[in-house]
Amino acid sequence: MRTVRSTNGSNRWVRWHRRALAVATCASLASLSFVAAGFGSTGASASTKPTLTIWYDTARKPMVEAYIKAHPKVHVVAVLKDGDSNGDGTYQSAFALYNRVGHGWPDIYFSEQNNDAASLAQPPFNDAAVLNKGLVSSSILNKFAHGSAGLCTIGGKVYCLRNDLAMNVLWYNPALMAQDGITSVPTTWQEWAADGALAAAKGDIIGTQGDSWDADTYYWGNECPLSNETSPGTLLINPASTNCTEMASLLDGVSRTALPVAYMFSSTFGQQYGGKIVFYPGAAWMGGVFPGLGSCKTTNPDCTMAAGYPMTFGASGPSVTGAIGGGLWFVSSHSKNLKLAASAVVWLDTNPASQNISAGFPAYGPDDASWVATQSASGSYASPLAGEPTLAQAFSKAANEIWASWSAVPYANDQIWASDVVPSLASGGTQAAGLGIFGSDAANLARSDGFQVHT
Amino acid sequence: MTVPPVATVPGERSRARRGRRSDGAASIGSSRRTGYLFVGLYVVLLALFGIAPTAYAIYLALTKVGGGFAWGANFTRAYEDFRFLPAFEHIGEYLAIWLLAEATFILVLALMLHSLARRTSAAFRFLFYMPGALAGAASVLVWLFMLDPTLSPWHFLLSALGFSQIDLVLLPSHLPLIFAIMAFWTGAGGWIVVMYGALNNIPDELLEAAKLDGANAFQSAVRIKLPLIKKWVVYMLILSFAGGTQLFVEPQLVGQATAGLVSNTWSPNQLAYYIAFINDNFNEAAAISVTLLVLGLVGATLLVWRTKLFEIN
Repeated sequence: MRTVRSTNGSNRWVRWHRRALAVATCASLASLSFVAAGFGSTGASASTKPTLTIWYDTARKPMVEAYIKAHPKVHVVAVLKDGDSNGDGTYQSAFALYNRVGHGWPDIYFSEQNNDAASLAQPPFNDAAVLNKGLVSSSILNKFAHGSAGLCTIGGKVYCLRNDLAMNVLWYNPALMAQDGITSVPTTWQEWAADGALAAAKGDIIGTQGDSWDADTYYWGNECPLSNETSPGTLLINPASTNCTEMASLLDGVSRTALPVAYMFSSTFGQQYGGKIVFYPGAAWMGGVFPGLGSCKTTNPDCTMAAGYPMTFGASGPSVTGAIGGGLWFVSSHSKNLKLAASAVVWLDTNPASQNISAGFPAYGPDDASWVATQSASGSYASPLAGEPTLAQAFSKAANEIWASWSAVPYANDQIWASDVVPSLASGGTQAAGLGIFGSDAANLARSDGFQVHT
Repeated sequence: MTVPPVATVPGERSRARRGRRSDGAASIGSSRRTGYLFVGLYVVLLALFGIAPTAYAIYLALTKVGGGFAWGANFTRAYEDFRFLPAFEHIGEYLAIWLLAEATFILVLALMLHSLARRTSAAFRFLFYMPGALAGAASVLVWLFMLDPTLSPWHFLLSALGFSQIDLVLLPSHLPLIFAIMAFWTGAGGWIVVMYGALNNIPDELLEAAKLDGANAFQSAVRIKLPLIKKWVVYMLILSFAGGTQLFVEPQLVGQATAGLVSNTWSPNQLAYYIAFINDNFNEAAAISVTLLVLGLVGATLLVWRTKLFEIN
């Protein structure tokens, strides 16, 4: 038995111990690498399949799943993203890095940000592929709703396909209208504002203000020039235009009880206003949102809403409307499978198996009827009042009334509205003041992005 | 009475420790090798993740996007950006509140802890340190709940202050204070523990001598303890200043979680991020980063120079 270890022996033991530790560490790392390599492999059959990387947002998950199911011979790498919404710049950040390192791009991607073509198709990103020069046939492109390619088209080149149109309509709740003593669906903004007093008396609301969509709803919907690219590189931003100021005055004249400063997707909106929404000027996709709002069923047994035509400003005002969102499908020009990527985008955007489960009104015309039928059967919408349009009629008219002069720009208008105007509105400021703030900040951003701005 | 310094910088302490060793040259050599090993590891990491990125940022800031020397063009363009000055104003207000809060509350709390019985003090130190576990993104999530009047456990307080919804809480004029509170909440506990450690280094004989000379608790704290931990306070302020000027996570996440209520160019670091990744102009973004670096270095140099932080007694 060794009780005392000599110094030399001790050193040898320590050295041996260290070596053993080093060998064990190397062996562990090697085995880990081996295991990792095993997990990373997709197997012989998968490796022979063409691979598509798809970036999608939560709402598009069923559509992507449908694509995967219908295309067993394509190996799909589906990556959940935030849809680049609210001007977050998620995609821009990613592409800026991928462009530097030379790899990492997806094959196709979905964006909720309707100005993304203006950003991702042009320098410095140059990612979006041109679709109307061989990748997507004109016979398909021609079947999309009139003007729907506006946000995707730059200099005659189409860089994306609209998934849904997201045009604004007037949502109304027939049950609440009767309770509040409102006898007809308003056709002008003035009638809608006047109904605000009746709604407020019962604690109900006729819409909201002070979220990032004000500009898309109220100002785009009255031909107010806040984002109009009059010629390439020249932008008209004129909040002092009559079309802007008259809408601001009208909104400022409605009580905050009827038109509160609130955001539909805040954590408390459903609790506060679920079941209390008589009218809501908003996007086509919102129809499915209202019945699921927080305390809806407890305060109103029938929370579903019907779609009315977009309102005009006065009886002779322009028949136009705005749009909130409306997703875009892109093909990356860096894809190694451009044709397959383009065919996937076409499938996702046109095939009824995909579009019937889409949240919004299909931009691809042939899918509209079956989508509306599916939606009508879902029980998410109220039956229209007598003499009022059906869902299909309201959507169809609104889709053709989107004011095409509202241009997509590389910066996010909704981000400016949210960070610069909403705080002013929340603390009691007026829409008129908010317009001035927006005009000044948007002009600064436009200039920093290289636009010539005129008012 | 000349007060011996007790707040020692790490190098000073190891040097003192080395001086006390008397078990032969082999032991000193071994100790020196261990020292070099530790310092060497630090130097390697510093070179990889500190010096190299800094050099790259300086290179980018001085060159054009397509290559070629840009002189000061990136700096000029960054300084002329309409968001540049507001971003620095925001960060200035934030730092003023945060550093003042650190320099007062942390010291007061540490001094109070030091005067408590050891066991009670340990419980409080643990309590103060706990929020530090929720650093960065986690603390933002906690505070998003705390600040939303409709969700907060402190809703009655927020309501009493007139805040009925989160839009009103997150008004632009409130943001510097809110971010300072978040930073203080997560960072103060750690610094209280550090200050408490520094206070524990003060020899008991010294405090007893002061007591015998008639110093009460307040006088002992202000005239004996504070001067002896001054260097640690300066060290805290230097690190906080450098970290504070680089504020990013809090405004970015609060902005994203509230659909854009906080501008995505609120702080200089956010502006640099925006210019780098949304405008894809890394060179101009690097100019802002280098400006922040210079600001941090100037601030630190002034404090080090004025307080003789690195002077070894």
